Amino acid sequence: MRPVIKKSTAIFHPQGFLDGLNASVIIEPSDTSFTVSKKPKAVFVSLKKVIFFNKKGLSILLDNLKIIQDKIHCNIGFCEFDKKKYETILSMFDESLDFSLFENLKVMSLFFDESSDSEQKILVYNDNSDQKNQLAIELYEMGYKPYVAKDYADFKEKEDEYTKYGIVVRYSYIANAEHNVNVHIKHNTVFYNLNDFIDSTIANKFDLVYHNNLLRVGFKLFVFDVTNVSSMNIHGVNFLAKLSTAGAEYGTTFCMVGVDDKKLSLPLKNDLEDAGILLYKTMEEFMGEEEIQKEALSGGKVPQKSKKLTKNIISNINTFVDTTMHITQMLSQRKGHKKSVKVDKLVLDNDKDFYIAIFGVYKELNALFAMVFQKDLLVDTCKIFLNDNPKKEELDDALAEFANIVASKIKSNFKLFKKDIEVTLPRVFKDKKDALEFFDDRKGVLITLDFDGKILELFLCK
Amino acid sequence: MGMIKQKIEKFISEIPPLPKSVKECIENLESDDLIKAAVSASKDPAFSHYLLSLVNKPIFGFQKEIRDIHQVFGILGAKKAHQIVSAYYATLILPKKWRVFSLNNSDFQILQSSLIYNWNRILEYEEYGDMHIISAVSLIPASFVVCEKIFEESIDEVRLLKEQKNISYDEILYKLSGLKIFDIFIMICKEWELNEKSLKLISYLNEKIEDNSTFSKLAKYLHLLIFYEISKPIYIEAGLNDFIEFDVEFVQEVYENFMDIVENK
Repeated sequence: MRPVIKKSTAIFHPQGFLDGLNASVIIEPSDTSFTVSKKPKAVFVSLKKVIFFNKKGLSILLDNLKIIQDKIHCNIGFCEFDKKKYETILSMFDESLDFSLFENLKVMSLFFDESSDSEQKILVYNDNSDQKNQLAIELYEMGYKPYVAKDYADFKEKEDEYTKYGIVVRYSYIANAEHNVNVHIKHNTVFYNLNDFIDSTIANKFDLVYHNNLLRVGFKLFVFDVTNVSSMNIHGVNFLAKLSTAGAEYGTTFCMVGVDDKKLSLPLKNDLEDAGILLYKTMEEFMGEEEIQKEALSGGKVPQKSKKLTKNIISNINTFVDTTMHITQMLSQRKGHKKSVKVDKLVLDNDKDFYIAIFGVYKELNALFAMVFQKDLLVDTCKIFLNDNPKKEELDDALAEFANIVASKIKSNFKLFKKDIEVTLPRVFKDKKDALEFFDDRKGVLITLDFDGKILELFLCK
Repeated sequence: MGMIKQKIEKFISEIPPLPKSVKECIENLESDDLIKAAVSASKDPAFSHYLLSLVNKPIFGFQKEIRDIHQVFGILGAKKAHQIVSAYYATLILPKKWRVFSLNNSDFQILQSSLIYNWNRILEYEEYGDMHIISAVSLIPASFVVCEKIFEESIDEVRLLKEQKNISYDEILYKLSGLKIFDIFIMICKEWELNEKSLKLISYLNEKIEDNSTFSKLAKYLHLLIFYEISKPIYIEAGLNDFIEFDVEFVQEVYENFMDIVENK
């Protein structure tokens, strides 16, 4: 069973009955490799649609989750359950767990989604006072200001208010877990989550090729989240400083969030600042910097050594076009055909609004692939991800999910031809101006697809 | 019209009619004429071979292999023979090769037999013996075939989609066509002129209707039973576990009884 990976969490969703017989086939070796390759911060099994489970079943799942944890140092556990299931799990494991429990996805997002609103009202209570404190401390460290109920009576008094206007953390349990460098993207900002002690070993943990390709795709704002870092030495700081200096060529901004005097001495702070890294004490402080947030959405040119189309790109156009056409047809339920193909610059009509996503392809083929949607076709194509009357941000998120599907399929289609490529996470442009600034005078292959009168433009360039 | 809808229409239009021998057999069973029913079945070698192979599955627990088609009807009686004959309907639309679900037709038959076996225990517990309700379960696995046929050409894309969002095949189909898997399944059952009572139970199952009727209670048992079966390792590995969405709330009323029934072997 494949997990659903979103905002740096991977969640498996079994349904029905969970026991010693079937648990071993829920996370199979291929699912483990897949999950490891995505490097999520948290890997959980949802119990929302499970009506029956026993200790043997959960233990087998945990063994498999621990295999993933050993490789990428992520948090593991179970999520989406009610009071009865929570109490059952606690008693099954004698109230001492080496994995976490999160009662719902809202609570889980507080711990793993850096873009979660730090101003939201949070009420924390747990019958186990150690756990209550651990949950509260973790939330404080993440930049929230939770209200920690003194006792059960205090919790009951506040519960209604927080249920209505905030988030209640009541049946959750947090286990200590080590982390590795993992990455996720939210609102066009790349977040690197660093943990433990940062020294020279970070160079081995950090995926430099992937990082360079994110630069190519045009991401402008990178954040090193060091909230969970205990301390850093000169070698670790040098590595991060070099990333920032190298990024200057691309006009990028690097920030470090979660900085305090304990983990970073004054000379090291100065080194980071000299390399152009902006330092913030908390995520909240960082999120409050409007100018910096704008930076994430800003366009601008990305320097290119050569902008010329290569024969390699041109000979592979069909894989990009056919894959995108097929997936768009399936999801929009509109019949598509290729209307035109030409070598040109990307031109966007002044009178229309566009939704544009781009991802980079690297390894055996180096290219950038953009998809330019108009709103009505995007809504049709992404209806599976959308509710009625979606807002702009929801459309952008849906487009990113669609682009992820296209990118994965393109990668697997290339594999059929024994071509090994990798793809970056997609970037969604803020608006037309942002996209045009990025593409500037870049020439590429511009393909116009027509889906029952609705146009989708694809742009493949170097 | 969307492409999925066209595919559904084509699929429904290509549903083969029930063979004459099967129709006759069913009519004879409904008139409680076991001898004539056996004669009808014996005229069709594929049909009689299927019936023999199904009743000889270990789950039915017959100590000696049943080799004669007349014996099948004699041992089972009209109601259970009707149930086994109804299971044959699903084989008329079986794919040559399964692509969406990693199944083969033998696994499919084991699933059918296990559903039948446990459904009979539930109905015995509830002391409910209507022939058409007994038989309704036999057709349920045909809904997996519906899902298989609709998504067979786009399975790679559907799998990628499922990596982005926790969504069942049923929900994908509904978002794309406005129809659920059991809506299509009901259309097929109508093509096969299935009895109104069976159709009503399947509609209760499809719409998860909650009222005080027996149909509502049986639909809850049936929903739970389907997930009990497709939670088995072989069917999780086959990818059947999320063909529709499991509704934990819907089945709460019957859960404890269900566990008593299936766990007391």
